[in-house]
Amino acid sequence: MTPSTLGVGILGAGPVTQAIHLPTLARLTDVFHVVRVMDVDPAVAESVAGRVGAAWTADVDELLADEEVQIVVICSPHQFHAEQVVAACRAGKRAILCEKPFAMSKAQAEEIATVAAETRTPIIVGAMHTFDPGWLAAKAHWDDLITTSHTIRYSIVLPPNPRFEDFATEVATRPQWPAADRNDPDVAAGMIYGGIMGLAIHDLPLVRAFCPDFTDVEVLSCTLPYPAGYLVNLRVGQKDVQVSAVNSHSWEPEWTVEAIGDSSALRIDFSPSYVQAGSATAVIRRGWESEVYGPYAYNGYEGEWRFLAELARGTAEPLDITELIHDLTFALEVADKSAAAVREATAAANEKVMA
Amino acid sequence: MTARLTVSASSDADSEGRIGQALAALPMSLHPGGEDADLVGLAGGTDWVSAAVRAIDAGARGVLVVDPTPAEVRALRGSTVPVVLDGRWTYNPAVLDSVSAFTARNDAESLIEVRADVPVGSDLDRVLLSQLALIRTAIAPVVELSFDRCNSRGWDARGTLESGARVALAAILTDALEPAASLRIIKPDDAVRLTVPDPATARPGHVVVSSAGGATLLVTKWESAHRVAWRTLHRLVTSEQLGTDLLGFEHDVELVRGGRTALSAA
Ligand SMILES: NC(=O)c1ccc[n+]([C@@H]2O[C@H](COP(=O)([O-])OP(=O)(O)OC[C@H]3O[C@@H](n4cnc5c(N)ncnc54)[C@H](O)[C@@H]3O)[C@@H](O)[C@H]2O)c1
Repeated sequence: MTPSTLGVGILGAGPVTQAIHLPTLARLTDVFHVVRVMDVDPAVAESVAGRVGAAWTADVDELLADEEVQIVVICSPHQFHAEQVVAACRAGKRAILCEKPFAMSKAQAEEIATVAAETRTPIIVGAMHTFDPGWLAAKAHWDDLITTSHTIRYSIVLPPNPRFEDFATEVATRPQWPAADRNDPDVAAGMIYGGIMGLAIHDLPLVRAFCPDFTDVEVLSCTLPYPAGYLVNLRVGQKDVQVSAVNSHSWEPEWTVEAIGDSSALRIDFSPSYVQAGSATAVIRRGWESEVYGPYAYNGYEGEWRFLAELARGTAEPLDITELIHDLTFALEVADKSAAAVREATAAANEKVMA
Repeated sequence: MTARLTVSASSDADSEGRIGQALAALPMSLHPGGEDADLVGLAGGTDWVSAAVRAIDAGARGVLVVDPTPAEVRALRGSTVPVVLDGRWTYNPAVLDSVSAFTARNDAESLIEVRADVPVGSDLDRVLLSQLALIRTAIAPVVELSFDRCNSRGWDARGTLESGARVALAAILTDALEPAASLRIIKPDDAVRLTVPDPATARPGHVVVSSAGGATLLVTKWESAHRVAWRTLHRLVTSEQLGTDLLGFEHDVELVRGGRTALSAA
C-alpha cells in the first residue's frame, strides 16, 4: 500500500468478494489497496477485512463517508445494487464497479443513469468477459462479422461454484438454496428468470454486440434442464440465437460464445469464473484457416479492475451508460419472455399429465 | 479366412462415398467387380430405392447407399438382402464406441444436444436424416420432433426420446467451420460428448465421458466412416443378417414428415 494507490471500499463480502475481487486485487497491489469492507453480517465484514488489513463496518453510509474510499465495488445481492450505486455516486466517489446485474428494472437503470450524469461518476458492470483480453482481441479482428454473422450460440456447462471458489480462496460463508418443485409453473419460470438474470447476463452483452436489432426479441422456445439451467432458442432481429446453460458436476466446464456467418466464424472459450486462469481464447475461422488470439496472461476480472483504475485517474473515457442500460433491458426482455414461455410449457405439460 | 466379395459402384456413388478408397483399405474382404458383383454401391439421390430394388433383382447380395435422400422404402421391406445406409456420421467408429456411455445416461432427466455444421447449400433433408440417424445409432430414435425455426441458415428443433429425454437439434450452414457433427448428453452428475468429423477423411471422432471424478477420452480410431460402412455390409452378408438401417430410416422419414407438417402448420 502506498499513498499513490487507489483506495477501494467493498459493499458485500460474500464468495464473490472473497474468491474473485480480493485475489484479483492481490495481483494489482501497485494500483489499489482495500480501505474498508462492509457486509450486513459484521462477522463476515470483520473476517474478510482482516485478510487484507482493511477497516470494516456493517453500515453502508459509514463506508461511503470514508474519504479514503475512492472506488466502490458493489458485491451485495442483486436487489441492493441499484440503491447502492446511486448512493456511491452521491457520495462523490471516483468510479464504481457494480457486480452484475447493476439493476433489476429499466426504471432503476435510468435512475442510475440520471444520477451518474449529474455526479459525473463513471460506472462499470462486472460483466467480466466484456473486459477479457481474448474478447477485446476478437473485437479488434472480426471485421464485418457483426453484419455477416447469422447464428449466435452462447453455451455454458457450469460446474458447482464452490469447486472454483475453493481453488481461488478459502471461503468463509456460503449461501444455501432450498430445493423447489420445478413442476410448479411459477417455480419453473422463476428458475429460468434467475438463470438468465444471474448467469446468462454475463455474456448477453456479447450476444447483443452481434444483434443490432436487439429490441426485436422473440423467444421461440425455452427448456428447463435438470437440475437447473436454461435452453432458449431466440430470434433477435435477423439473427438466430441460442442461449443455454446446464449445471453439472461433470468435469468438463464449458463457457463459449460463437458468432457464425457463411464465410467466417468466431468462437471464444472463456476460462472458468472465480479462478485467475488467464484470458479467453478466441478463434476466428475462415474455412480452412484460423486465427487464434490468446490465452493472454490475465482475465476479465483483472481487465475490469485495470479499466477501473484508468477511469478513476481520468485516463480512460467512461463507458456510455446507455449501452449498459441496453445490455440490461436486453437481458430483462430475454428473461421475461423465456420465463413466460417455460411457465406456459410447464402448465401445458401438467395438464397433459392430468388428462 | 475372410470371404472376399466383389463390389460395383456407380461413378457418382464412388465420388460421393469414396468407395474406391474404402475398397483399397479392405483388400482381403472386398474387390472391385463387374456387373454381377456381390455388393453394389449406390448414390443416395432421389431414385435410390428403385436403383436398390433393381440391383437386388439382378442378384446383388448386399447394397450400400451413400447419404440417402428421404424416400419411401416399402419396396425394400420384404427383401432378404441387407442394405447399409452410409449417412454422414453414423458409421464413424466413435459413434459405435459411444453407444454404451450414451444409453446408460438416457432417461427423462437427460438433455441431449446435437449440432451439425455443414457447408452452405447443403441438402437440408439429408442433413436432418443424418442427424436423426446419429441420435438413433448412438442413443435411441427421436420419437417427437418440432421445429422452432428452419431457414436457409439451418434450424433449431426440439425432440424427445422414448425415455422422456429431451433433445435440442441444430444445424448451422456455414463454410467457415469444418463440417462436423457433435452430440452430447448432459446430466446433473456427468456428461458424454461425441464429435464426428466429415466422413471424407479418416480424421477420428472423439468421445469424452466426464463425471465429477474426471473426464475420460475413449479410444481414438483413425478409420473412415465409409470403410466401417463397407465392413458392416461385408459382415451382414457373410453372416446372413439384415441390419437395422432401413427400419430406422423408415421411422426417421415418417418423423420428419410429421415434423414438417407441424412446422408448416405453425
Ligand atoms: N462476476 C462474477 O463472476 C460473479 C459470479 C457470481 C456472482 N456474481 C455477483 O456478485 C454478487 C455477489 O455474489 P455472491 O455470490 O458473493 O453473493 P452472496 O449473496 O453469497 O453474498 C453477498 C454478501 O452480501 C451481504 N449482504 C447482504 N445484504 C447486503 C447489503 N444490503 N449490503 C451489503 N452486503 C449485503 C451478505 O451478507 C453476503 O455476505 C451478486 O450480485 C452476483 O450476481 C458475480
